[in-house]
Amino acid sequence: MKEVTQSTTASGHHDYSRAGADMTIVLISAVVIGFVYVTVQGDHRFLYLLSNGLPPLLAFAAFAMATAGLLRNGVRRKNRFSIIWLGYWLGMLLWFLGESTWAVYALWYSIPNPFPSIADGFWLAGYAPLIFAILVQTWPFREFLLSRKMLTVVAAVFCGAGLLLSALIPSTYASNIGQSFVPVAVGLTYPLLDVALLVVALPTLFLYGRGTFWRPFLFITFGLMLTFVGDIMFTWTSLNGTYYDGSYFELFFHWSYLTLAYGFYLRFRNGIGTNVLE
Amino acid sequence: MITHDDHEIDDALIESMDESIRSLLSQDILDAFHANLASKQSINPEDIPNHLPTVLVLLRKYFGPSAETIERTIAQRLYSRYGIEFQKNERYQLTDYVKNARDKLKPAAPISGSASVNLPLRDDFDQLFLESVKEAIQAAIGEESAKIAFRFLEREVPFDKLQRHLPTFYSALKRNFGKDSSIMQTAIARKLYEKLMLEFIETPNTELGKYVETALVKLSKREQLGFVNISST
Repeated sequence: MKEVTQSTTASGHHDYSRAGADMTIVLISAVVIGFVYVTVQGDHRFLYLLSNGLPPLLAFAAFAMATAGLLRNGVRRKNRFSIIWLGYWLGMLLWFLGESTWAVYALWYSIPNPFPSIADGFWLAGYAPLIFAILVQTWPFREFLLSRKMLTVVAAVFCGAGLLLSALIPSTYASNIGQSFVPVAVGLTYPLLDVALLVVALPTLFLYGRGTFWRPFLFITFGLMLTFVGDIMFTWTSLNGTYYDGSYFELFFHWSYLTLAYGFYLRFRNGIGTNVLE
Repeated sequence: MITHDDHEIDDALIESMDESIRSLLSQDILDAFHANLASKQSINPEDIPNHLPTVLVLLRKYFGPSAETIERTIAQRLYSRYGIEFQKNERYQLTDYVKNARDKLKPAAPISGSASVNLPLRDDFDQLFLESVKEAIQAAIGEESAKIAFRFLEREVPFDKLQRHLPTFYSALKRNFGKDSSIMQTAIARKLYEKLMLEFIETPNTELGKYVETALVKLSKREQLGFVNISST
């Protein structure tokens, strides 16, 4: 039996160094952002600028990479992967618009915590194409996803989410008595949509495993999971009044965009033809 | 020695693999898979059956755990082509399924000279179809009601001429059973497949005519493979 060879680039040569370098850049960026957050906690003015100015840039990076990935994949009717990439692209566009709108409120109109606002409309709308993309992607493998093991994972997500929400909802209502219903409803819509996203996304991590073809999707799914953590913490702090611009948990959003951008970049880098599997 | 049937199963395996990857993923990915096999392993698509273990290693490398679903889909399609009942086995890989299929099909191979496996063929169809109709209706509505239903149905198509008037019979079924007609059609199809020893996969909104058509194609395939008519034993 012949031995299976390792991945190659378009030129036909192994290119682990480049893949490693790409990954290193992402990791260094993540560490630098974290380091900056730690060091500037005392400088409220800079922190405010960083907290509101950085997300649109990172979201744009993810959106730009999603566009590049989509174009590289090609947009064709009745092509499953065109639909999938289009879904991710649309999700990224809406999240980028959400981040930009928030930044305009915060930096242009000097509204420190514009919640809820039009930005939330964009963010919440972004969930639909993202969930749709994951569903289209995993639908042919639903047999695997409906296995006992995967159903256990989904049940665990539901239980975890249920516990989280049961802790979140009463305290949120208690601390918002007399306040408008809208911020509470919008705030709780995020974790609910996150749970929906997680329920479809988490089992895919098991489905893709170490398969090289799925690697871009693996990073995208991981990025969406980081968003889940960020959203939960944002909702919690925002509704109980402890949120401030530059909170540490914002790092989850930044790392999420970095991871998403890297996932889309991988799709772009793999190109077309034989390399699409590498 | 490679027999004529081995070649036929090989071709069926290649087609099943292509169809499976195309339907689960896409044509582009199928093309990329073939190109990778050719460039990295020097395996052309037509050589896949001879290098199946290597191909499976590559399949798992590219698709991770989802390769299991791909392998099972390939096996299901292969089995379906020959009307072999597919039974999922968690411990089986595609190679095992293929070996199993070869073992099941080999005794009927004309070149082996063996005629030990007798399965229903086209000549048995008419009789078995009529039996299926009667038994399925009886099982569904009881013996007495079935007698009345048969009388109504025979007014439109005499049962001894059923096979020559299938479209009329399908319409008569619809008229007589109304909204329950689809359940009845599925029950007849299920019974028919059971009698024909074919795997029955229920698909929504599929009419009896379509099931019959598929069954006839599979019976023809059996004949081509040299199976012996059940009534000849």
